[in-house]
Amino acid sequence: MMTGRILNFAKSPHQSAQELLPWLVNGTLDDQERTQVEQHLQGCPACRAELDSMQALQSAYADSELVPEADAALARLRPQLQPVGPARRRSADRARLAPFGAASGWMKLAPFGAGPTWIKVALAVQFCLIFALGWQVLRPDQAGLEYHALAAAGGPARAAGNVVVVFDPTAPQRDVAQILRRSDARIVDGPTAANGFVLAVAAGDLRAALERLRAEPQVVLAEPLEAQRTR
Amino acid sequence: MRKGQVTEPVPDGRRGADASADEAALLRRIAAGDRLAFETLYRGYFPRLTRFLERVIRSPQMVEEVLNDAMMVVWRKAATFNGQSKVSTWIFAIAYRKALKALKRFDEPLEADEQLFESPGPGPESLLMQRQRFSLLMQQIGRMSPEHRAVIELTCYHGCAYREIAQILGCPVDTVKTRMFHARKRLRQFLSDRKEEI
Repeated sequence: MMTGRILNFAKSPHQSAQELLPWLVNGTLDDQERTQVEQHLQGCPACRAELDSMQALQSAYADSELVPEADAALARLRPQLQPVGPARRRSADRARLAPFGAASGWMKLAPFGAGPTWIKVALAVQFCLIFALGWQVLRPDQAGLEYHALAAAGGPARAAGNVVVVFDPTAPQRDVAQILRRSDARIVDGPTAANGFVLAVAAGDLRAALERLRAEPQVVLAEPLEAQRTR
Repeated sequence: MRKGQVTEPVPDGRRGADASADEAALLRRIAAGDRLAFETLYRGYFPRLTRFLERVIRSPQMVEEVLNDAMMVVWRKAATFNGQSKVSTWIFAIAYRKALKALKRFDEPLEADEQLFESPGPGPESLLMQRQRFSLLMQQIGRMSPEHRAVIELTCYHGCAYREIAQILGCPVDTVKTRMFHARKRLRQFLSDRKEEI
């Protein structure tokens, strides 16, 4: 099979060298090719002239370039980033079977992509009701939070509980432990009736920890408790 | 569109094995649905893909759309990357196919968009002549087919080997060499015809 690694001897050495000059200039020829082209160049003024013009073209190309920033384009792409493969199937399953999970963040938009309008309206109403009911079930009570806060007094400055999380019910314990380690979080309460856990993360890192948790495919929901507690 | 951020060109063809391994690790995380990993990869490729697509498509208005289309394929198909090529080769191949599709959809205009290649500004006389010469060359390259433009761009700016370019373009290595050879011939002829102008 012709792989391109061996010079094509059906062509003259001059022709082969001429063809390879651009890649001699950009430094990507292998040793054998480079040696043969360089040997040919020593005795061929035409190829040396061509080499000069290729070097000029490539140095002009290599000039520093003004480039646009990625932020605006990425912001326009973000809403389209839906889960794929098994994650997408899990999301659909949650929409049907696990009402609380279906209401989590950007994933709740998935069922709205297709189908008749009445289904979309029904789903919207259903999501609102489910979210309200689910939050009532999941929300840890104030007394519970205060109890843990007192228990933590004198210890490290980690809050008693500032994030509520629902994991994928099929996630193995090992994965959950890894997610907690990656987010520098620990479980301080739960599971609730809806399988929610209250996590404690360092207060200064709350936003970053939430982003990390939400990026985990096995996290169905991650919401801060701060607003709830300060009301 | 350009916001004044100056970056050194990153020659994709000469990027090390470490960079490729890091990117393969990012792709594995993307395949698992990790959006932060996707955003990291997106930001890393945005300048290079923008530059490549600008040269192949020549329509600044279409570049972001095609780039985002290509990166959506990366998001959706990350799990299918099999490691037989470099990550950069895989991503550039996706972007190239998206660019050709977009060109077919919008019927590429024959004349070059001269604003894309205009001289960056005044300078010392020799520098000015050099820029004028480069600007004319870019206009001439802009009149070539997208396939020829892609070969020149990947060779001269992105520092790709011809075998890698063949993988990106999905064509035999001899086709890459022939396209480059004919493109150079046209440029030589063009410069020779305008010797007195520049």
